[in-house]
Amino acid sequence: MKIVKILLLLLLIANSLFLPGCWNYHDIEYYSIVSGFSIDKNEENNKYILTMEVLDFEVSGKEAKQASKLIESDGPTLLDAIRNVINTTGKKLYWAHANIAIISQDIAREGISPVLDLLYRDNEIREEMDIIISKEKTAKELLNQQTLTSQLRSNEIYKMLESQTFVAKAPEVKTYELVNTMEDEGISPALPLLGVRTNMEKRSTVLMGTAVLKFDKLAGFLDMDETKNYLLITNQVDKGLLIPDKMKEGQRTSLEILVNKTKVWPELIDGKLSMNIEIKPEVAIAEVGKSVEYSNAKERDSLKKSAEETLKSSMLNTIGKVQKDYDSDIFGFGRIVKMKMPSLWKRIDKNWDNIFRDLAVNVDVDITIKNSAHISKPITKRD
Amino acid sequence: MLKNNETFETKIDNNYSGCKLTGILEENIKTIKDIFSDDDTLAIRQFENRENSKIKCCIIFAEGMVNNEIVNENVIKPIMLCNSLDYKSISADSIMSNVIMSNSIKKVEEVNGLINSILSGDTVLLIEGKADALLISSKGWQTRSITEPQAEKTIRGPREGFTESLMMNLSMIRRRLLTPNLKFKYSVIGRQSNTKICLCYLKGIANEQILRELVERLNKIDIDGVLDTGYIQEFIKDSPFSPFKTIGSTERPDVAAAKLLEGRILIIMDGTPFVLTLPFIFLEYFQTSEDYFDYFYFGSMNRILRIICFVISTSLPAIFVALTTFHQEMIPTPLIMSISAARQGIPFPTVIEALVLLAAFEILRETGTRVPTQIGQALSIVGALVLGQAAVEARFVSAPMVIIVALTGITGLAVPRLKDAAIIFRIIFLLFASILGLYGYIFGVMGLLIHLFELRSFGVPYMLTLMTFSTEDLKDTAVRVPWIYMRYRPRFIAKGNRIRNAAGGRKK
Repeated sequence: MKIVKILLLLLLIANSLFLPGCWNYHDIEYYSIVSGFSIDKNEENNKYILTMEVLDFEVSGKEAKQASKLIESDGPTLLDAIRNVINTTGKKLYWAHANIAIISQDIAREGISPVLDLLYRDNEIREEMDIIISKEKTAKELLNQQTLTSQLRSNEIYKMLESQTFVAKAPEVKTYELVNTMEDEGISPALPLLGVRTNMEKRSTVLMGTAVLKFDKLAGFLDMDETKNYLLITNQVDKGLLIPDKMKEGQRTSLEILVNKTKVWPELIDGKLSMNIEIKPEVAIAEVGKSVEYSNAKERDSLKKSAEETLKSSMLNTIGKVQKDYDSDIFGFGRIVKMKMPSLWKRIDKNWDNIFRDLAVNVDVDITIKNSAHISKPITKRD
Repeated sequence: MLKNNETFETKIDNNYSGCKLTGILEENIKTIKDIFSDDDTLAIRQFENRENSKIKCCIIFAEGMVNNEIVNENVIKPIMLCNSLDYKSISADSIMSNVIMSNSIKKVEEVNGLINSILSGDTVLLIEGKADALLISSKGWQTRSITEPQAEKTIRGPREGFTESLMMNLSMIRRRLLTPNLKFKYSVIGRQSNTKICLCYLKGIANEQILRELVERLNKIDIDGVLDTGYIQEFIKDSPFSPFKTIGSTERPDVAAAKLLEGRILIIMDGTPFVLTLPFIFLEYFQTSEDYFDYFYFGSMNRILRIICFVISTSLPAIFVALTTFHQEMIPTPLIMSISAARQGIPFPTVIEALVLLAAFEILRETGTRVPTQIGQALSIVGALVLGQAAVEARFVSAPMVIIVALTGITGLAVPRLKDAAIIFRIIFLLFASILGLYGYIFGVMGLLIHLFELRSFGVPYMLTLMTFSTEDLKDTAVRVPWIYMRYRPRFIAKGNRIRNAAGGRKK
């Protein structure tokens, strides 16, 4: 009896040793760490082209310098393309540190969900990877540009998106957020858009706004100012600038957003649904181009007025463009209706696309000017 | 507490119980000479009274063990110069009470009683025509003066340390606890060495059960000689194969006194400054006397640091190996980049690298403690330059691993008394982690905890105060609360008399 017990105990221990899934001792230097990758499609043979940027090292004497290397591989499926890399390099790729995935425009137009499946399903690829749509023809050329600050292009692109909190000109969307949005009712995803621009005679990547998707298909683009409006409506803005349209008066003034609070609520008047958006940014006067004394309440008021007007009209433009041209509810109005008026939503959810196209939207902007940074007066000659 | 019939048995190899002293001086001298044959240090000096040459005496002592001044002035001089002695009426008793000036003197009739006394520095006085001898205490040899112990330095607190002399050590303890409740019980261990040991405890506070158990274990020791308390420690220790000590040792009389006050028992041995304290629990590793002398914030902080150091020193190599070889996704991207860069072109796997470097550190430490100080400099240059720098530059080992091992080694020295256990568990954890990653490391930690929780020191749980969630028990653990709140002595150790202070001096 005792022997049986001991044997059972040994079996238990053996199981716990061999079944936990923690296996494979692997020295770190035998992995090629993937920092980012792009997915294209070869139209001729209908294969995926996977371009990976891997971390490589140039060992010379005691120094090991980091370097970036691009590896291209193709296959009928993405996983096949990934496995095919071994045929060219011999090293196994390590995906857990990949930060960005760039998807080409062509694939986005056909629908990104087949591509997204692997990124979401695989256990090695992180779910908090940034998904980006390429504005250029192919996605791989974005990884082939020169870097300005970092050794790795993917890292640089990742940093660009991370730092969007300071400018609010492109959304940052992680894989799981994208999938959540796609699966949710009454909201469509929007992804950051990346393109190439010449910077000091070097071609380098640059963020270019937002790609608007309808479920998983690319519907159109928003430029950077429109993106800011989109981010304001979806309450994703923490910092960023507001530029009142006073250029014609020769004034170049920047207002820096300190805090922003956006409220969106639906309203049903006479059986007609409309959305109300209230945007309440608190701003600081960060830059004054012409000597106007904003310590004067009247001047301040006029600045506030013009800033509010500029913002309001530009927002209405953006909303109108998304409604009419792209017909994709990236603002999540439908989801808000679902939350606030569930009974109404049950009746209209099948028909939401049509309703969204003609939905009346009221925008109310209320800017509070908090301070004027370090100086209260513009630079003027003293009498 | 200790009843008379419970005193220790003395196991002596050389038993001369058959020999008796006779009335003839020459014969007695011969008897002793025979016992000490081939021992040239035995000094025999015969002399007579100046007035009455019939009064012949002889003193016998071991050279170098006696204080010559005492022998000359208090033994030889009075007997030589005394002019009132009468050959017929003198006896050992009359000489003892009238002539010899000594604070400790004893009459002995058997040879057996003389031998040990001669060996331990007493002077034997034999008188012509008397069948008994006088033992005059005349111990006097050079001892090391009291210095601060090298291994247990403190910034705040007494600078005294125990020495190799038993009596001096006892006096240092006695001076700190002026109470008749402080008990000292002598015993002798070692068939050849006849080493004097002393049990010391505070009556009324020390746990009698533990005391009885200790005496029982001590009586079982049968060895030819003991040179340090370490011998005794290994003989009477619970779980003899555990790397953890279940008996503490200290070189500081203030620590010894504090242990007595908590109800612990001391074993003090002649010839070594290391005093055993028992029972010993795990947390005592992390306690120093300074924790109690300094302000409690500082004391607590240092103690927490020591505990963190122990954790780092046992776990850091294992965690590093587990993360870099199993769970690369857990390392932040910039960190994995630099680790990977450092490991490019290293010919050995990470585990081998860790094991080799850990071994190198232990070799450096061991040679560092053995070599004379003059060579120490060369050692540190070779150790630091060759191992640290050249090996990294030649890409034999990676720089992160050198950092990890250095940190492991340094933190291991923060709790010097735990270093043996730390080394063993460091290697065990490392091997576990190299087989199963963090999962294996956790296995190792679980094993360590199970082992620690099942250990006992003289019946007292080794993890005492860490097994319950009572605030009273936690007051002197990782944090040392102010003295006014430490009202009770540790449980189990000071059974029955637990109240330490009545919160006196505290503002109401």
